[in-house]
Amino acid sequence: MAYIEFKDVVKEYKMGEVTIRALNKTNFSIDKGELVVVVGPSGAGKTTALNILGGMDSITSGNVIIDGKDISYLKEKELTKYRREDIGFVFQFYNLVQNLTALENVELATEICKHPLNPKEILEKVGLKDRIKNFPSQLSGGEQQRVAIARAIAKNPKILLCDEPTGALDYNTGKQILQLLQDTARKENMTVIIITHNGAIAPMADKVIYFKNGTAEKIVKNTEPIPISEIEW
Amino acid sequence: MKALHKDSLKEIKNTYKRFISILVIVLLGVGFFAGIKATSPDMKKTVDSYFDEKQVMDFEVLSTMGLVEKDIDAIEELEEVEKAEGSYSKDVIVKVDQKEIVVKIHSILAELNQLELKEGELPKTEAECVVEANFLKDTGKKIGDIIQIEEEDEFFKTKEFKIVGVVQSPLYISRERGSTKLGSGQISSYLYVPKKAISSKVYTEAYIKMKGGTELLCYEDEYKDKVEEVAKKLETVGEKRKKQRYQEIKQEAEESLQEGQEEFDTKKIEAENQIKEAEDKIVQGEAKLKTVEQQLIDGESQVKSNKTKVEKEWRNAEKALNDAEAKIQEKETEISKGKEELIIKEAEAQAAIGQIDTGIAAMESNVVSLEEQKKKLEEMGQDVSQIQMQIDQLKETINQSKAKKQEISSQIEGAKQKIEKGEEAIVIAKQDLGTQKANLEKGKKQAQSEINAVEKKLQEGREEVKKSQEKLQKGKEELEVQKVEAEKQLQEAQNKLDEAKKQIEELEKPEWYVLDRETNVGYVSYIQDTDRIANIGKVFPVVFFIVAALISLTSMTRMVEEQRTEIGTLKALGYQKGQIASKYILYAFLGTIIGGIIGMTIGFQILPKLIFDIYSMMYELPKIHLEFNWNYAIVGMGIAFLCTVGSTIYSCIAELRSTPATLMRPKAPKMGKKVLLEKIPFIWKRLKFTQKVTVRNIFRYKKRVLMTIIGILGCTALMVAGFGLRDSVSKMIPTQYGEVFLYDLSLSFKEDVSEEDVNQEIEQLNSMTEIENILKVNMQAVEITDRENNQEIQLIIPEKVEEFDQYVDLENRTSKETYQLNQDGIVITEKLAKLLEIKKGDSITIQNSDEKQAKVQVIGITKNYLMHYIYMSPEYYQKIFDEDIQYHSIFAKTISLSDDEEENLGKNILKNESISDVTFTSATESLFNDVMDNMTLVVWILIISAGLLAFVVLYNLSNVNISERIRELATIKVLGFYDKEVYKYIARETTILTFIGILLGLLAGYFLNMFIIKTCELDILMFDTRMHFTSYLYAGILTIIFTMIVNIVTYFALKKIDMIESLKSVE
Repeated sequence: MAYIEFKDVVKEYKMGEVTIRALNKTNFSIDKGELVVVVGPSGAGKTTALNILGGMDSITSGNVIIDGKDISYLKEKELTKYRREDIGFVFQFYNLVQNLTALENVELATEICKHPLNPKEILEKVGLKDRIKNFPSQLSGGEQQRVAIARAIAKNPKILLCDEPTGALDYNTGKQILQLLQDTARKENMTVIIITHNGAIAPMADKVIYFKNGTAEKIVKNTEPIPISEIEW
Repeated sequence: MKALHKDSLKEIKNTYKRFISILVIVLLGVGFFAGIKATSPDMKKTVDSYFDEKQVMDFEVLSTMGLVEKDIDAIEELEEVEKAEGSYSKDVIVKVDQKEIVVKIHSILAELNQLELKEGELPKTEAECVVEANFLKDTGKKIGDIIQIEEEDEFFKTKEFKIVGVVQSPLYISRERGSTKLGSGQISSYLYVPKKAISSKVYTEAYIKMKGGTELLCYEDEYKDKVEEVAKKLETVGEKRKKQRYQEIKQEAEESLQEGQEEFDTKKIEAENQIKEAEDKIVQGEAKLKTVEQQLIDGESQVKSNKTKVEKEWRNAEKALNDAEAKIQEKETEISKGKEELIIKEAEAQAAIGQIDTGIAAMESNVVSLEEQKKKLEEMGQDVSQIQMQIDQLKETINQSKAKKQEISSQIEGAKQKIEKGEEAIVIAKQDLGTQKANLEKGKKQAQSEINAVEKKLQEGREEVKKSQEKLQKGKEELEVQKVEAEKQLQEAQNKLDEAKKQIEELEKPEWYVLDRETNVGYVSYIQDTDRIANIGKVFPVVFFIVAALISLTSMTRMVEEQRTEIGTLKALGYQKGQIASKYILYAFLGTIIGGIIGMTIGFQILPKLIFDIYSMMYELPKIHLEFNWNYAIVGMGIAFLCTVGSTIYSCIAELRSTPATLMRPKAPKMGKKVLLEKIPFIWKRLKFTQKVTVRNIFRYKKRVLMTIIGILGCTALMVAGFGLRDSVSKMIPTQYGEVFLYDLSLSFKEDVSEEDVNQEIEQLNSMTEIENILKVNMQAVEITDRENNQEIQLIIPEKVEEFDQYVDLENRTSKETYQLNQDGIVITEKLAKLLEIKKGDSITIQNSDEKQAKVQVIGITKNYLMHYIYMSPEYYQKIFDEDIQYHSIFAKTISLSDDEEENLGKNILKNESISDVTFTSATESLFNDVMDNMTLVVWILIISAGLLAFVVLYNLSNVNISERIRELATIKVLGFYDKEVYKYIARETTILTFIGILLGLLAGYFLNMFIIKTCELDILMFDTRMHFTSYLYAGILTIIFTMIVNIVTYFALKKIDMIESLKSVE
């Protein structure tokens, strides 16, 4: 049994009278501790899949089973609980609370968790030891994304979901962030799912899921993932 | 429509909440502003058009000598005067059952001061009248009933009037009816009678309407200027007429003095003649009496002499009678002697007769024998001659004897006869004597009776004389009295004449008083009240406008910020700044204009009417004249535009200055900053993480924090003011009758009841079980003459100063100093002191009801919440006015009674004819409470508007807050914050701000309440400003409830936040 299982998941949006099917009977599964890269063109449904995985969106039909638990039709509150305890999110635009320092942004997440990691240690791990007291506006984009990752990891989640984590970053910084994510997956044995439209980074993953037209068209398992530092694009 | 404008409209649809919040706050601001502002002019216009409609005078002219037709004519000759009419008025007492009511009777004018007929009809005859509605209510009379007035000057032709209708006079728009010298000093009602019901020739006043007054608004300066101008003219007429009238009066007086003098003179002569006549009569009477007396004396002496004479005659007659009697006695004795002799002689004669008889018999027998012898001889024929001779001889002898015997017999018989004759004579004499005696006696008697009669007559005469004398004496005395009286009368008349002369000499020139509407108490207090409302209108809208400005500012700033990219795009497309800004301006403009129009429509209609309705309880006016006040509409809209469009432009400018490129990049988020509190680790370290976040957020969004606090503060303050007002209003009366006036009952005696009767009544009252204590007081209307005021003041003088504290608590409200009335001065009530700016220790001049003035010292200012009073000790009163005090009123304390028991007691007391009025303080209290209940409406207006304000502010802020922080909120939602936690994350801030706002609001409310009280307190009232703790509590709780309701709305808004959408892209 896979750690994450997507079974015939259908997601439809109603835009007025038009129904748009964002996910059309998507099936894939991810094992625990896997680093998964999801690639595909815009509108292929990868973000929708990620949102569903993250408990931020509901599905129209099908099943999503995570760690043996079906989250497909959970109530709002249970979904929140799921997000709270099992999921770490990293966004393209960091989404840090501007009014809180780097440490506080991490603490904001750890405050509500059952088994959080030490925020300071995490920040140290992401290389921001000296910047923990800085506000987001005092940090560079890469640093902000590190804080965001630290905030996601500090919750000690089962799954770390990253939506275009390098989309707003320059090449080197982006590389560093990806490195961080890869390290995290390896060291913490955390299931990490990264969405990107940059297919070039696919070799770093244990598993690559190709999305197209609302379904996981192709799932490739890398038996030998390549460290990110060795990937150029 | 341009695409940009379409965009604007779409924007409204998309952000309808924001649009509505702008609309609503503008609605509230403009509505309140327009409504409150318009109330005062609307109310003023109502009275102006009412006055115009009823042709209410512009001037009232009074003269110390009254006014005559010539005065009226002279006034009417002025070209500025449209109409002048003479009028009569007089205060009289009307007795209804046991009550004495002072009413002012006016004459009905032909054109001016027209009455509004409410019921029935106007009087047609001189014995009909119309009354005001209150009169019927107070007296229980109805149309068709007859009332009697008490009046001595015969000012009216009749003393009985039939009520034929109910009217409302435009001269009395307030409940105030003015003061009088009669009765209680207060006029309680007015009454109108036709002119022909008045017998006086001299008008008491003239009412004047000037030309062009109707067109002007009587509370505006233009009218006032005109009034001033015409008043001057009137005064000039007055000057002229004063002189003429003075001359006329003087002339008239002189003429009448002349007449009086003449009359006096003739009367004097007449009187003197009369006296003389009377004196002559007395003299004549005396003379007559004298003759009568003389006659009496003469008569008496005659009677006396006659009496003597008669008595003498009687004595003679008696003597003669006695002599005669004695003679008769003598004769009787003689006769009886003769009788005795006779008897003897008789006997002797008898014997002689016997002898003779025997001799005769013998001779006869001899004769017979001889005869027989003879016969025998004859027969024998013998010669008989011898015998015959013998016989003849014998016979001779017998005859001789017989003759002898006869002689003897006749001798005796003669003696006998003589005696008999004598006896007979005696009898006759005796009889004669008897007759004579009887005659004498009769005569005597007759004479006596005659004398008696005369004497009686004399007696009578004497008595009559005596009577006449007495009469005469009386007459004399009477004459004397009459003389004195006549002299006195003459003297009096003389005095009067002298007085009249003196008066003519001293005759003061008449004074004219030209009064305008500003002296009509009802009108003035009404205008003052409307000004008070105008004052309130200065504050409240300001609060709303400030809030409106703040809300627009935050909303529009937020909106512009949100659409930063769009602005950049438009700019990049080549739109000009103005064009881009116009989108937002249109948005604000539409919100403002829609909100403003709705607000004005509601405000102009509802608020003036509502406020006027509240004031209608105190004024008698027709329906309010509502109108759309363009001035305030424009000003209100102007301010609203300034607030909304102004703040829109302000928020646009900053953005529009930036280049399109900058605009299309996400706005650099506001820098996070450490707050001051973090530098105090002692506190900071103790805060929980979430608390720290809250603190930092509070300091971060200063504008919003300020707005929230201001909004909550305003809401709380309005409610505190509302509740405080209710406290003040509702507590005022209970405090007045519970803490100031401690008596339960006051009653007054009729004017003419003597002091003994009063005392007797008091004893009787004292014996009633319901009554515990009684204190006699004197109550009179007084004036303070040396300060500008038109306050009605009651002077209260307790008979026993030392007992007074049981009935009225004289205590300073703030210093808690209590006062004892003494000989040093007076104690006045607080509001009066405040209005007239009198301080303890000041000296003021007061005028008592007899119009005597005196300077008095103020020794204390006492708490009082209703009406104005001056308290004084009787000693001080006597000292300053040098007048006796009549205690015609009573304060009494009763045992605790139910309403019914009180009513019964009142009825029982009123059965007494000498009591004119009984008032229970509880009744007054409940009466006032009814009026005050209506004040709660104001409170509700305040509370509702406060609530609305709170909603609009908080809701708007909450919206802005959410919109501004939506990414942050979405992020924490993604992080797995439960809805509750998300809510708390936001609400913690709101809660803290709410509490700060409430605390500040409670404080501000206290001052706002003070301000409202100051501006809307009537002159005769003083609100009890002690605010109850619960008012703060209620205001606080209600604000919290309002906040909570907004928070609940916020909770759902937060719940609805779409994480995916919110985090999808950069704004």
